[in-house]
Amino acid sequence: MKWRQAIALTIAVAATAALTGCTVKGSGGAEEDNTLTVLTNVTPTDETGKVQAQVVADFEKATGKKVKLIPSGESIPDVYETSVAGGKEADVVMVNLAEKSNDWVKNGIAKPASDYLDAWGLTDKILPSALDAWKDQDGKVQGFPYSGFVWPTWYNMDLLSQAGVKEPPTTTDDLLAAAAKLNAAGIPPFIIGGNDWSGQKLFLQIAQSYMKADEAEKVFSKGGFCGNANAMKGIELFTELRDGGVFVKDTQGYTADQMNASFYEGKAAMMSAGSWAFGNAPEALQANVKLAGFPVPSNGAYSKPTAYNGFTGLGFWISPNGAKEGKIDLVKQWITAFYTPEIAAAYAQASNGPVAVTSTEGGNTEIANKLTAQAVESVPGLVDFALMPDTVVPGNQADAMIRQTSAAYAPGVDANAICQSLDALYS
Amino acid sequence: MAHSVRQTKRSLRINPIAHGLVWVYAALLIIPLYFLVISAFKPNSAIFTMPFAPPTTWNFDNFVQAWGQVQLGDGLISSALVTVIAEALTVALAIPASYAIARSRGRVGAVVEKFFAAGLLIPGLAALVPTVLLSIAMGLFHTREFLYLFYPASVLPLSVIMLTQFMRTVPPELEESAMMDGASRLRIVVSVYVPIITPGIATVAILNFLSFWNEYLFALILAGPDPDIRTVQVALPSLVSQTNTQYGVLLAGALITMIPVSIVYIILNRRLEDALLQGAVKS
Repeated sequence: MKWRQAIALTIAVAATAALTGCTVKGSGGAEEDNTLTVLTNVTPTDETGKVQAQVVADFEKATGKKVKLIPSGESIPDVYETSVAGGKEADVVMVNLAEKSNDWVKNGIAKPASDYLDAWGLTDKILPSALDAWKDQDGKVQGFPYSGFVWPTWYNMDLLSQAGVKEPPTTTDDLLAAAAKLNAAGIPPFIIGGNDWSGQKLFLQIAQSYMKADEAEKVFSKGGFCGNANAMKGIELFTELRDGGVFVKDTQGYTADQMNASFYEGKAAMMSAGSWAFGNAPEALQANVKLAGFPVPSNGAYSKPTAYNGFTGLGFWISPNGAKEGKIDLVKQWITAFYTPEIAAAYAQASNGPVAVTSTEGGNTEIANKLTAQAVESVPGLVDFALMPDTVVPGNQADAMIRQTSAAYAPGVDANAICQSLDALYS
Repeated sequence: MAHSVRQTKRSLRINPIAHGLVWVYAALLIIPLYFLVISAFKPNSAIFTMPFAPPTTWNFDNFVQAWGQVQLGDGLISSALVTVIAEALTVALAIPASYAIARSRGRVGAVVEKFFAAGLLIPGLAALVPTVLLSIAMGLFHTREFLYLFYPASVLPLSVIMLTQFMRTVPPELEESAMMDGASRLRIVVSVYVPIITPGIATVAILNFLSFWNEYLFALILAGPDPDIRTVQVALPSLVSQTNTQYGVLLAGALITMIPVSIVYIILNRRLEDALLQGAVKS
């Protein structure tokens, strides 16, 4: 019965390993005090991961302490919130300010950065607009803002030219006309991940076409879409664009990844994507893409096409464990290391996006990516920046809102049904 | 006699509808596997634009990246430890429990059997919050040790119920004669019952192995994301990012995690078939 012997041997080896060499590395004690744990959504193997690795190496050399990186993907907020419940959370979390993380300081599961900014000499090193973006309703800066983004609309000029459209549309009437030409030429017009966050952001970008930022902030944070005439005009504009054939067929089923892949392959003429997507755009396509804003109605709240920008792409959060006496000095050294000009410049270059650091002087600020260059040089003059919803929509409603906006992309859903489904989230 | 031969021939003749349905069923199983394998060698653009076209090159970059990016090797070791130890504990507890129930003649045995059966009615998710609280109270939150204990507890009801049915097929006379020869209860279980119900044990082992190896939610919440502790099923979704998921890398990682399950299935498959055939043909 060889198989029985094999199983018995396997169990014996596993039990030995479990009880000896491979035992769990425990929490607490001297070893933990010598290690800084960082839960991060920076991918270790990409360009930003290399900058992070450089900071780890410098930190370990300077302090003689270890850094334990815990790379995690989309599940970071869930993982972190659960670990706090058991008192086993990482000392620092590196993640964006959006959706669930919006409630961390309010719920006491992260320490406000405003308690440390001045003492650590970081207030002057961080752009004031970035600090504002990370403030909660009580005026506390929730985390340390670091990496930002520009979120324009991408226009494939080759495809637009093939359909007889010479320039990116600037008004929604132009957009409808361009979509008609593209559809007639058999070219899919505007692609968006209707099924996820990318579709939600575009929906809210269009929905605020007739609202100034303060009015949009009120509606997005408290609800009341149906009762606000300007919000309703924006939602009606959305349905007009949708029913006018602006979006590709079956938009409501697409994800952001599918959107990127389709646009990169020349399967759609327009898309809305942030600077995080610049790095993966094929080089041949980069020369052929014009970045601008999303068209606005002629009598809307914005005079120029709109785009998003912000510094909520990545930041540092101090956990209750990280704020403890034995750890806070290490946390300080870790976070402040990222705000040196050299590291900030390297991170900006690696991420193809802006960093919330006032000075990158002395670092390498050369821009190799053509889309990044456009985003820095021409986009700010072409667009008005709309209100970024991530920090405004309550964290506990964000997922549900994505489901509702996804349904809004389906043909036949009218503006009243859309506004009611959104308002229901706030009741 | 002639009638019987005709009937046999008819039953052996290929039924085109059944034959067709078998091929459709086979395709339903093979197509996702085909997609998984070819996509593991492709970049995102090729996956989305030509999902069923074979890759243009068969290089292993995606596999290397998946392995390095989320430390799949450590995850595989963790999963192996958790699965093997939990499996051993489950079998070690389920065999004596099912023996006792199968041989019980009184009311207590019936009540205990119903108690285990009632365990099947508890939805896994309903146990999540109490389990997290229990692990915190025991000081075992974010450790593998808690998974060693929790997984057997979660599958014991089904394992005991199944093994009890197999135990009941063993003629009581065998046990009686062993007792007359002076064998203890433990000796009877080990030397009489276990060899006879080996196919049943293999069935339970395979089901449990699949359940332990593939479990995600409890492993994520209870053992946490630490690369030194997390199982491979927790490590794998770390490849999913909100803005830039490389699906080729993700599917390459998924393919790697499937290898141990496939090996175990191949090893225990014959025993599983024996269990399925047991009682199907009159002796």
